[in-house]
Amino acid sequence: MREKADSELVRRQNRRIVLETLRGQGPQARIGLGRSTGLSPASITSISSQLIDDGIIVERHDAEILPEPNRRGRPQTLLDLDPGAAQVLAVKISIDGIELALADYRGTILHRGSSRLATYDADAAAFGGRVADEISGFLAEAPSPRGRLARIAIAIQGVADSRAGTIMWSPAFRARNIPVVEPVQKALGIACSISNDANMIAEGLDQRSRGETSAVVFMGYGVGMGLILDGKVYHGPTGAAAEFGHMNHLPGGALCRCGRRGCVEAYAADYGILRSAGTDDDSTPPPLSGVPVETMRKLESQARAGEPRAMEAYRKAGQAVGYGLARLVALLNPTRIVLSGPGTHAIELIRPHLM
Amino acid sequence: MAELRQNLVIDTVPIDTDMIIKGSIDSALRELDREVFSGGPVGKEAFALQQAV
Repeated sequence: MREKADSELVRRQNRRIVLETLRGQGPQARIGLGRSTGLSPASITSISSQLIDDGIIVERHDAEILPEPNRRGRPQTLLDLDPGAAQVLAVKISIDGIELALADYRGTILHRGSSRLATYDADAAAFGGRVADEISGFLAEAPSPRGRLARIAIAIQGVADSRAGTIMWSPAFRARNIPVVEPVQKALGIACSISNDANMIAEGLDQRSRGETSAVVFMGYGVGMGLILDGKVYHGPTGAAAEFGHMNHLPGGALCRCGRRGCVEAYAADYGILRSAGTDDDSTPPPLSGVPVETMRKLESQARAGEPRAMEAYRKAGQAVGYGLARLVALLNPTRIVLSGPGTHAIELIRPHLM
Repeated sequence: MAELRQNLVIDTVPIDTDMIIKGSIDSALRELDREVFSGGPVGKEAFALQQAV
């Protein structure tokens, strides 16, 4: 019995390795897949046959994939993910808006949409149902059959509890601990997960960071982090790990949107930079909605032109992020830090003050 | 501290909201690979059974 359980475990693990390799490295011939995975030719033959029979991968001729100058020797049969195996839905919830994108099993986006969705004053108990309604409406307009949808991934600004499936806190909402996953799963019957947007950026960049310990710092309407430990995005026990923007930079310092004082975000998010440039009162409440892009562009121009208050605001932002990163470097010894998000439009004003 | 920073690379990747959508798709697909399709056999007919409620 134990032997059977072990062989089932090995089979699952080998299937996972093959799928992860095809997803990460693209279509491959069986021989190349053997090299990439370290699996024997016999294992590759067996696993690929099973996966083809299960409708998860397909055989393709290299002429379909590679342009002629890149093809060498005899025509090859490549293994690739079957786009029709499943579909997934990405949902991004931000201040008073929702964006949706339906993708096939290869990750190609099939259908996109966005609409206005009141968040700030939303009723916490009813909000998950509203999201489910938005998803249903979007799927009704999608060109492909709905039966293939297998996963829904929701990204939000703020702190998500991925285990409870709730939005613990978000600048987009007045309410806290808003249930999302359970009402969506109940309404649609499809597995759903929730995470913060910085984690999702890290997932998107994960291919480049394979095997590394690295961090993606999101700068913009807030400051977030996606933390990649040994090549895997680290979510923590509840999915609320690496809330870099809410690490304390200065005890008793500037007022943050989360209600506490001195967070990194209170100095380095759009609203923090704008506040530093405009007033000495760091208790001025952050705006409920985001800062318009044009406002930040104007402030950047002023700083580039040498306006002292604007320059000082960006210096403070760089210093706040830099001190935070220095702690991260001391703790985790990452090999790569990626600065991302709309805030990086002014990176040359921030970067000199990082470290 | 200087030693820790020796091999540290700091990149800037200008990202718009599309990267959040792309990452969400990647995350869902990896979860599907890991939790559903690794287990197989998951034929197209049996697929609906894999959907959690």
